Amino acid sequence: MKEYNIVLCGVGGQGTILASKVIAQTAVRLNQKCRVGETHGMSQRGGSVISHVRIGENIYGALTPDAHGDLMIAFEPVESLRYMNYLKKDAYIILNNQPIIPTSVNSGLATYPAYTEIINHLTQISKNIIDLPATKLSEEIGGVLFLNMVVLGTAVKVPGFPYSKEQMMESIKELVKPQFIDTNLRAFEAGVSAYKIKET
Amino acid sequence: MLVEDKIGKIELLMGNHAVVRGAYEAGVKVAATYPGTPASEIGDTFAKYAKEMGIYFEYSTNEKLAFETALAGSWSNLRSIVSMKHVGINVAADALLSITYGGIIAGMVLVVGDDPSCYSSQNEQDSRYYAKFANIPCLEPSNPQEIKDMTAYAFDLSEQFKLPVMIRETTRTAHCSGNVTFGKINQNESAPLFTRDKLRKAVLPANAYKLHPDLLNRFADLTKKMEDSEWHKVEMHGKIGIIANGITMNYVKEALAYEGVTNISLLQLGITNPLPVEKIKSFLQHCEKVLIVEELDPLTETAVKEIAFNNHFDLEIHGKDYLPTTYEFTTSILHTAIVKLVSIQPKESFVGALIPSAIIPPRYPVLCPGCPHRGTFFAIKKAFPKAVYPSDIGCYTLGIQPPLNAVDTCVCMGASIGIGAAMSKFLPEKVVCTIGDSTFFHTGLPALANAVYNKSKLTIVLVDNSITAMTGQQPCASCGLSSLGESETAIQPEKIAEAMGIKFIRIVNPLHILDTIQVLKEAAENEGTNFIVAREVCCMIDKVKKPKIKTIEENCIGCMICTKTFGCPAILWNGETKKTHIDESLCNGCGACIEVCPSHAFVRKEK
Repeated sequence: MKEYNIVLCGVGGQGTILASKVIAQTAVRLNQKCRVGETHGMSQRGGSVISHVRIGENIYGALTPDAHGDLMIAFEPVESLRYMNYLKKDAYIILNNQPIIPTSVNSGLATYPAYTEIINHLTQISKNIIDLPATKLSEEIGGVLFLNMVVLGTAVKVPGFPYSKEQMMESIKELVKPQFIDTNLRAFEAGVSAYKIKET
Repeated sequence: MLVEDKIGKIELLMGNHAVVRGAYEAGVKVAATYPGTPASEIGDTFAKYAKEMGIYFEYSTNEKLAFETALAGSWSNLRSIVSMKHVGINVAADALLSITYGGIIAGMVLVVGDDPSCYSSQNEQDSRYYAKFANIPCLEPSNPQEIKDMTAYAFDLSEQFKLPVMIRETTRTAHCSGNVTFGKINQNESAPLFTRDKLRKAVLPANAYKLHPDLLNRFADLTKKMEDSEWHKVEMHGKIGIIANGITMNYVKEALAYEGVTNISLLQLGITNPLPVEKIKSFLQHCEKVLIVEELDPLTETAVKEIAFNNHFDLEIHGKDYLPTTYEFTTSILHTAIVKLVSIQPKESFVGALIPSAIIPPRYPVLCPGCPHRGTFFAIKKAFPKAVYPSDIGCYTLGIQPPLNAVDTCVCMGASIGIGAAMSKFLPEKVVCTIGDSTFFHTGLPALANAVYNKSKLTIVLVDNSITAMTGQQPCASCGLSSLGESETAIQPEKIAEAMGIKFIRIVNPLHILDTIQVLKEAAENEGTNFIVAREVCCMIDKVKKPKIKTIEENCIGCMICTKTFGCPAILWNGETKKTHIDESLCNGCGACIEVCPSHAFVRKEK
C-alpha cells in the first residue's frame, strides 16, 4: 500500500500512545507493515510528547521524515506548532481546541498564543484543519480519559486515512479493558460525527 | 499474548517487548534489571509474565547487581538475561570486564539501551565501546522482528563462545513498535547445576594471567565464525557503497527509495563487534567510494579505514565528514549525506514548515500535580535559601525547573551525596542534597558511609516516595513490595543512617509544608551529616482519592506565591481577574498548596 504517515502530538498523559496503538494494531491485523515511534520516560511528566505511526511497504524507520506527514492529530493546540516540520503541504490537521497551560506560562515566564494565531500559522502549511472541541466532547461522554478515542473517530473521516470506522472499532475492542469498551466506542462515535473542515 | 505458543502469529510488539519474547523463545530462566529508559519495559514485561513463563525475575538494586544475578544464573546452568540503560553498563562494567576471561556457562545476554539525542539520559555514550573493551559480541537489531530474533539467537552464540552477548538497542529501536512474527518456544528444561572450576570462576591474578590469551583466542575464533553470519546483509549494485549498522540502515534505505536511487551497494552490519573483516574487504574492493553510517562515535569507520590502509586499497571513505557524531539520525540527515555522496540533484524535499518558535511557550516536563517532591523542594528553598543544591537521578531532578530551581547538580546515580558531602567541607555555603529512595539503594549507600566517615557537613534529604517513579513505578527495596509485586518488609533508610552513626535523623511528610520547613531549619543549625527522610508515596500509585482543593477567591490577594514559587500545574493564574484558581481535572488533592498560600485562599473541598 501507499505510504501513510501520522503524527500524534500533545502533552504527556493525554493518551497519544494508546491512540497510536489503535491505528498500528489495525495495520497489523490487516497484515500491513507498520512502525510506531513513541516518546517515553522524562518527557511523559506533563512535557510535550509526539508519536509517529507509519504504514507502507517501503517504510523502515519509526520517524516520519520532515515534510512527509499526511495527518497530524494534535491533542493540544500549541503542540501542533511544535511539530509542524513533519507536515506535508496540505496535510490534514485534527486540532483539539482546548489548551493545557504549561507551567512556564503560569509562572509568568512565557505567554500562550491566541487560538486564531495558532490557526494562522497552521494555514501556511495547510488549510485542511479540523477544528475539534475534542476535550469538551470527551467530557460529555465520560471524561478527558476518552479524548484519544474522540480524535481517532474524527481521523477515520479524513480523506486518505487508511482505515474504516469499523476496522478501527475492532482494534479498540481488542485493546481496551472490557468494562471500558462501551464508553470508548461512544467517544469514538462522537469524534466521527464531529468531523468538519474549518472554513478559512 | 506475549507468551502464546503460536508459531507464525503476527503481533504488534514494541522493541523492548520483542526482547522478552525472544528470550522466552530461547528458554530463558533468569532475568534481572535495574530500570532505566529506554530499556525499562524489558524488566517490566518480565515482571508481568515471570510466573507464567516460570522464570526467576528481579529488579536488582543496581545494574552491577543485576549483571551479577544474570551471571549467577548462567553459572548455575540457567539461561539468563540482564537489561539496563547505557549508563547502567558503567556500573556493571566492573563485573563485565573480568568475567569474559573465565567465561560463562549457560547463555547470558546483556541488553543495553543507548540514547542518542539524550531523550532521557545524562549523556550520549556509545556502548559499543564496551563490547570492544570486554571482547564480547555486539548485535545491533534494526527493527522489532530483528530484536526478537537476535535476542533468541544471542543465547546460542553466548554458549558457543562462553561470552556474554550484547544486544545494543537505541531509544528508537527500543521504543519502536512493529509487526513481529512469533517463533517456536524452546522448552529448555536444564536443571540448576554448579560446576566447580576455580581457574575459570575465580579470576585471581595468576588465573587471569593465564586466561587473557584464552579470551583472545575465543574472540579470534568468534571473529572467523561470524564472518558469514546471516545478520550481515549485502546487496551489490554500483561502485558507490554504504556500510551501515542496525537502525541507521533504515534511514539509508528510505532516503534511497525517496530519491529513486538504486545503483548503490549496501552492507548492513548486524554484528558490529567483531566486524566481518573479509566481507568488508571484498565490499571495499568492489567500490570506488563508500560512506560509513553509524550514530554517535566512528567505531566502524575507524575499523574500515584500518582495513583499507592495511590492504593498500585506493578508495574514498567517508563517514563523520558527511554525518554528525552527535544525536540520532533521521531520513533527512541521510538524504543530505547521500545526495552529496552520489552528487545528484535531489528530487525529494525534506524541508519542513518553519516552526514559529517565538510564540510557542516551553513545555518542560514537570513534577506531577500532587507530587510530594514539590513540597520538599519548596521547603528546602525556604529553610536553605542560599545553599548549594546537589541532586541526583529520578523524577526529583525536575526540581531543576522553574519555579522551584532547587537542583544545582546532577551527574550520575548516587552523586548527590558523594559530591555534596565533599562540597560541604570546601564551600562557605550550606549544602543540602536530594536523593530518591531507589537511587539511595542503588549507589547512595556507599556514599552515605563515606559522608559520615569523612565528616561531612551535608544535609541529605531523602525524597522517599517508596517507588522507582521516573521509569514507570517499579518496586524497590524501600517500598514494601517484592520484584513481582508481593508484600515484603520495606528496608528503612533511617535505620541505615542510624547504624552509620548519624545523630540528626528526622522523618517528615513533605505535604505538610510548615512542619517540613521547621525540621529543615533545625538541620540548617546542626553542623554534622544530617539525614532527613521526606516520606510520602508517589501520587501516581497512591490510589486513595482525596477531596480536591478549591480556591476561596475573595481570600486570594494575587501575590502569585503559589504560581511563582510552588508551581503546581493544577494551580492556574487568571490574568484578567488577577486571581488563582484550581483546575480540578488536574488536582489530586494532596493539599500541599494550603500551607503555601499566605492568605488562606486554598481549602479542601467537603467530600
